[in-house]
Amino acid sequence: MQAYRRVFEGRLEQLPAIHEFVDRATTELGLREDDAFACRLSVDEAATNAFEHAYNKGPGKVEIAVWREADSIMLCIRNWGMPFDPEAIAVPDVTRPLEERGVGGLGIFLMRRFMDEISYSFDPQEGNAVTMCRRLERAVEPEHQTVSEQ
Amino acid sequence: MEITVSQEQGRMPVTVFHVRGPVIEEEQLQTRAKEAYDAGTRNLVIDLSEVPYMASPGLRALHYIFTMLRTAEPGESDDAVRKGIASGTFKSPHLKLVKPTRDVHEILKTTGYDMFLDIHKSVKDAVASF
Repeated sequence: MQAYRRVFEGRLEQLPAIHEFVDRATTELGLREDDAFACRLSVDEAATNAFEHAYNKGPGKVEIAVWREADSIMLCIRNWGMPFDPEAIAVPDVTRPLEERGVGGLGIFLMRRFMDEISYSFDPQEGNAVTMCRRLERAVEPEHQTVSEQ
Repeated sequence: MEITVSQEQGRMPVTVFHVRGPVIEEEQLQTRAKEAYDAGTRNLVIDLSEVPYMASPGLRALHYIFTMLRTAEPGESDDAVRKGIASGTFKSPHLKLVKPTRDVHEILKTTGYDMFLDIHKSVKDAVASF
């Protein structure tokens, strides 16, 4: 299984590098642009949650992994901060009037919107892991394989 | 993210934020908007043509700015805004966006921000719309 994996400093300033990493991985895995966009966006939001909630804007590490499984693209964002389940966040109902929406929860709303499955796990050693799956329709086969990154 | 500010004169004075780079945090945009508001800005255009992508903190910043610029005019009452958004007739009269890139536009559309924020093709069009 071809996996792209890299560890980043858990700081907001790292988001452009994370975004670029996911962009490159999804390109090399042969994703269409709409699928690649969904991956970039969802990883951005999961990483932002890790920075803001798991690490409370303090220091830490975030590991990003991207791989394909059959007709799906898989994403895993891991951190070693405070246990934090993004699925526990109430998402705003964006069809409701503005005053009745919260401004929080938009990140998880976007992740749910663009991913088909999201799961969360916590282990004292393995940390918080958010794993997301997006099913690919008419996926294009990757043109070439590259080595895993660590 | 870099923000440069210019002043334009249409039917009324308009402040324009030209944003360059990804919008991944909210403080900078909110702080600059609050500074402009304290200096007298009541109408703001945010040019997003050089923003390759935006994360949810950027959306929170837009919400903050929308709320800050909202006035007590009858057309902006809670009831009027609620009914206007529901019927698709309300757009903020004080905050306009310009030319979001494809990724940013998709996020604005998905989260329903295009339901209350006008999106224009150019700064000139946006300034003229006030």
